[in-house]
Amino acid sequence: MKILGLLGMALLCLAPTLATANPVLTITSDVKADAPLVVRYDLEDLEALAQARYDTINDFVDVPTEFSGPLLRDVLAPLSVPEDATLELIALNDYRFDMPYADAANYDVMVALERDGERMSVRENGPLWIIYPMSDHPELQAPIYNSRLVWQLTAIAIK
Amino acid sequence: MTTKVTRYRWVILILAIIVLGYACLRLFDMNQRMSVLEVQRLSRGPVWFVTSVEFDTLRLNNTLLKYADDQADSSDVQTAFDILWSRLDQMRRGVTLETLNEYGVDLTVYNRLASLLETTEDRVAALGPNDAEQARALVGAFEQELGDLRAAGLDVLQASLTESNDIRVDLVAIARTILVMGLILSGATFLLFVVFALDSVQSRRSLREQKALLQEAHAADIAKSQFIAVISHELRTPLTSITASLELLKRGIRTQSPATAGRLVEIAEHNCTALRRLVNDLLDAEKFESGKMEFDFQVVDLSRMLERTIESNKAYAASYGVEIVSDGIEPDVRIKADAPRIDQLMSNLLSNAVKFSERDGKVEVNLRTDTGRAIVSVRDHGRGIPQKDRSRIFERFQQVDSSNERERGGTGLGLAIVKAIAKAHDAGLTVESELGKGSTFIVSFPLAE
Repeated sequence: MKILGLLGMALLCLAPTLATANPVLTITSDVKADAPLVVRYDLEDLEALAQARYDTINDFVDVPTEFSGPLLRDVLAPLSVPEDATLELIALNDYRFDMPYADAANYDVMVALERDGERMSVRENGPLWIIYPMSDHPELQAPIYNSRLVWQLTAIAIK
Repeated sequence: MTTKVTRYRWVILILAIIVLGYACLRLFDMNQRMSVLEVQRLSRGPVWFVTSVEFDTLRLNNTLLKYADDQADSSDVQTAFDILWSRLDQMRRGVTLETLNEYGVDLTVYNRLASLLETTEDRVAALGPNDAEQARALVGAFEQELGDLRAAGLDVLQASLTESNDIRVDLVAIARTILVMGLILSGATFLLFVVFALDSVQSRRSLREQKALLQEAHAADIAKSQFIAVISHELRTPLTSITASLELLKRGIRTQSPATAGRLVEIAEHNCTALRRLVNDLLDAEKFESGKMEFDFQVVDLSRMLERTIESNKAYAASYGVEIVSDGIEPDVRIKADAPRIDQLMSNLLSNAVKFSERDGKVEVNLRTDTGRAIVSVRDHGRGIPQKDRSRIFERFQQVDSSNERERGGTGLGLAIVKAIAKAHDAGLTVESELGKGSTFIVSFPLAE
């Protein structure tokens, strides 16, 4: 854990996101009460991470739709999130919903940047939308997981 | 009752399975209905959307007013505009639209709001510094829709509540049905338990009965074998004597003195009598067993009969070196009886007592009356009868010890005949015995009125 923590800190130091000009996603962690960590990403930072891509359905699309973007666990990697942590997802209009970090660890939960190969505007629930691979995992096609598909995501608070 | 329940056990079992299956189906149905409640409980159901649209419209107006007062910039207005757009757009697609259609809510106001967003899109995008008037004009346009938005929102809320209520009513009905089914199932389980328990008891009982019958059959088989052996012996002994006497007579027919010939004839006659008695015993035993024995009841003087029987059996007793003594015979005791059968009964008891007495022993006979009954007792001083054998000595073909019989002679039918005659006379028959000291057979007849 200690080594991972140090690695996380090193990544943080290397990441340009601390001083990013147009942050679209701010991640805060109060898991370590004495030293909360903050990571900010702009769109380019998120694009620089490994990109996942899959077609999926959910309650908010009419037909199976292709989404792409970095996996949530990769986005959170610099913060060394404990397995049992809870993530509070916060949207542009201050809508908040909790999800367990285990979802991100066990499934390819994505911070989608694109829908059908196109960036998403605020009107199209963008620029960031949490997407679960529901077509690949039918057990995720339940009301509770649909509630976690927070769109217009702007911040994540790790608790 | 038991047989009926046992017969219908499969019907009960099948009914129980059907009820269980139906209960499972109802539970599955309930689970499905519960998922609708789950959607309602979580955010972002139809109610959340219509409320959000109203809220975001108010927020847009609020941002526009702030813009007019220089407290917000145009990008804030654009963001609020876009959020409202996305919310409205999202509300009119996917699962939310399906649910709203199911509710049958009038969606005209939302279509109107969408048109308003499209027509004002350019004006919002073009908002520049000092466009306070324009901003206030937009506020006015959106404000006109707020009343209808509130009304539509309440309609959706009402529909959602009605749906929840219907589900709750259904759930209560399902819960009650399941309760009733639970009771039926409990009853069926109890019945099945009873059926199987009765089955088990029955099969155990019939097994025990079969075992007892088998033992009885085995015992009867042994008794019969012993009986045949005894009878053969009892038949052969006098026959041998008769044959031998006749043979001797034939050989010495010219040379024998009349006295010797007379003794030989006497021996043959004596053995013929023994044979006749044996055959009579066999026939009588069979008659008693089949209930064909006929009785001629008359009032008789038991005291005199008893004395005669003692006299006639004295010679027989003497042949065993035993003496029959009268140990007090109350005179003039009268009973209603078949005299020859009573004689047979007493003779059998006496010969039995004689046979089981030691040489030079005594057999004591007593007659007295007590509370309306004539009580005859015959006592010997033989070896006695073990407790375990006392109940079966009166059974046909049953003997305490066949080797004992061989030593003493007899067929083992005597006491069975005694019992049958006593029964026909409504007389009590008991035996008291002490091992090594002797036995006393007691017969109690009702006195003649």
